[in-house]
Amino acid sequence: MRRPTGWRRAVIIILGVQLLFWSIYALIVLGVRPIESPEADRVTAARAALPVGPGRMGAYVADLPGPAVLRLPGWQPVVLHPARASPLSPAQTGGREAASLSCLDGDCPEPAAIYAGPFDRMSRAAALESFQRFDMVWVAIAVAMVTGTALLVLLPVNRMSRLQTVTGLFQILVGADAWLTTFGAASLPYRWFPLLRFGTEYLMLTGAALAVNAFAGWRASEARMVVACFVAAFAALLAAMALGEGVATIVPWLDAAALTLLVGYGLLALLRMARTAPGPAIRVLALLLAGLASIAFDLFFRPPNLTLQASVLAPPLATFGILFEIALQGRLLNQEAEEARSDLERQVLEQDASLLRSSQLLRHQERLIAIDAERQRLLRDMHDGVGGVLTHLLLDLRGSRLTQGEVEQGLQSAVDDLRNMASAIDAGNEPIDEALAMFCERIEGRLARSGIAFDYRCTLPIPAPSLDVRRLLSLYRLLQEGIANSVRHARATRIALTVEAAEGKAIRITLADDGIGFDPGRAAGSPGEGRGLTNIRRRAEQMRGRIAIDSAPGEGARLILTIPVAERKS
Amino acid sequence: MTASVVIVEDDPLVATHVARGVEAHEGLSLVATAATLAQARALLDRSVDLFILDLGLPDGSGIELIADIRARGGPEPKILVLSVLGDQETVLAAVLAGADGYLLKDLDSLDIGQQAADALTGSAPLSPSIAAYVLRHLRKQQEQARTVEWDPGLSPREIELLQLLARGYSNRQAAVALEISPHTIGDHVKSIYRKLRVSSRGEAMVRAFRNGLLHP
Repeated sequence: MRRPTGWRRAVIIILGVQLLFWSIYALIVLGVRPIESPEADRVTAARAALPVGPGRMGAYVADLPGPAVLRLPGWQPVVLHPARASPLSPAQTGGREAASLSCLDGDCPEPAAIYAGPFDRMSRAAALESFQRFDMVWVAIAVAMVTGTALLVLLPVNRMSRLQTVTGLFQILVGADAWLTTFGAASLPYRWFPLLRFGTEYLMLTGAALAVNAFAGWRASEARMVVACFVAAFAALLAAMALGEGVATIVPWLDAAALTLLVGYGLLALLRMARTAPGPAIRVLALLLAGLASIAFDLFFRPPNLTLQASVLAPPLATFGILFEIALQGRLLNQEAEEARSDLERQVLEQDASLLRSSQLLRHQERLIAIDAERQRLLRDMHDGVGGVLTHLLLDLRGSRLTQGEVEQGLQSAVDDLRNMASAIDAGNEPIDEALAMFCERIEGRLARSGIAFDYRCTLPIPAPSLDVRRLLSLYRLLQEGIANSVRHARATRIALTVEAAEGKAIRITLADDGIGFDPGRAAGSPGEGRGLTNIRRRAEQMRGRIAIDSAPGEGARLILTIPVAERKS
Repeated sequence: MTASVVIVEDDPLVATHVARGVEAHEGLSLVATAATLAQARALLDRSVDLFILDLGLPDGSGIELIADIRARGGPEPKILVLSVLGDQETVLAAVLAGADGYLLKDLDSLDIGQQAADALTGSAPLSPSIAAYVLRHLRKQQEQARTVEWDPGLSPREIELLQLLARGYSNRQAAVALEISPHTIGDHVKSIYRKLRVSSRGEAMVRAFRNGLLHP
């Protein structure tokens, strides 16, 4: 359904509020109307004498401010209390001809509405007055206090809304003012009581002005002016009290000034709101029109038998309007919070996605860098191995210093080194037992052709630890060098490769032959053999391992390599 | 009765070297040599016991030829792939396509003859390198179980055997370790070969492998 907009909406709201207001008024008028009118029992000059009836008789005076003594011709004088009926007793002796009422403190209402008749009827009339004069006030005080307290307690729900704070305080002040006005004088018989009472009244009006300010969009300068007005009024009260004049002389002036200012400020605020917040302004206007209509009704159209003034209902209506507005604001706040939250969620999701993208990019770049570094290492490795072998071979060939066997051997070692590189790339970071088995597979056949028996034994636990590509390549080259030494120089007939676990996250690799052996101390400096041993030590260093060379002439040779390994991730 | 062998190799030097090895072995006889995929395909209808082929042929990959041979069904003929480095990508691609093993090109010709004859009798164990490659392949598959469909479907026992072979165990050592007879080991090895030898899905798998899709 499309929501009506603009003036249509305004008209609908204004008519709706009017309908609501007059419906409530009608309900109350029909519901609380007294069943009988006491007018028939009114004691007037023309009807002063009261016939002695069959039942109990009683008397009641409306709107008594305090206790009073009523004298009726033919009846004993009787003491009357506000909003209460008293029973009458017939006088033994004839007395005065006219009825008279004398109040014990203060002045009696003029003209006094004196009623006399059957006691039950009088009692019911008094009860109605009591209800209207006192009980209704208590109800109003209770309502104002409860709503004010509730508004203050619920402040966190509306995120400490200023309108709600001011309205809550205003409601509590309304309650306090109602109590002081109706019961304060009797309960607090002190000299400074008027200061308290009227001070509270002006404070309440100040609260009303501040509520208007908060409603129309808070302006600090206007709030300061409102407070200044209150301070001025309070100072005037204080001065009047101090001068012993009594407040009665200035209160009517102050009242008129305060109400004028408040109404003027309210109209100004309404104009302001019409520009900034037409929605609330229309709602306030609707309430205001309902109030004006009620006053007009009271002044011009109210039938005399309707005791309830319509304008009495206007303040509660205004209160409910404000409560409605606060609830509406709370809902808007919640909506905004909800939108902000979903907006935040969306932002967080976007941030996540962008973080993911950048982290992927970063990983990609890291990978590129790693690949680049890997290429560089590969290049160095080629330089270190197959490149060097081929260059030597080429130079020697140009010098024509080589036999066919030497060329074949050189090329074979170049191909072997290529295979070592390929195998290291394949088996790097894979279990070392597999990597060594593949190496042995390559070497075994060739040794067999040379008449050398090759034993390979691995006792590492499964899964075995692994070496990275570079360390594995160093290990391959070290073993290749060691086996070449055994074949070329040691005249071995049997070579054994043993792999086992060593203490402290390390593996021990032993390469043993049954060749002629050598003196490790001397071999270091001798040509050929020494070069091989130097290479072997360098390879061991490259893989952060320790090498022990154990040999003596005629005793065979043993290379014992210990390398630290990381535990394999399972 | 000698086994008939066909060599598919575009490099005449290598082809001659291999041919010398084949002819030197008394159990083998060379029936034809092809230098291209097309020539080799023309030989498919002949009765051949063993193909020794190079993967890098001028008109295509030897993998296609392996697939063609296996598409005709059955574990015969045997197929050996020639490789310079014996590297994982070449060998695994060939084995997964249905090859029985590989030969390094620089092997002595006597060794070539012997290894070819071993492949025919099926007496040779799965070589440690092939076992290791297949195991690695299986491990990678487990790591990326969601992305890879192909599974050779090896039994736990067969994987255990692969582990031992990959560590360099001989048939006899593996039989002792697994407490079964060497004959049973032979059966297991044949079963492993058979399982790795798949037709259409294997081909797709090999394609993926060669395109680097299976590398982590």
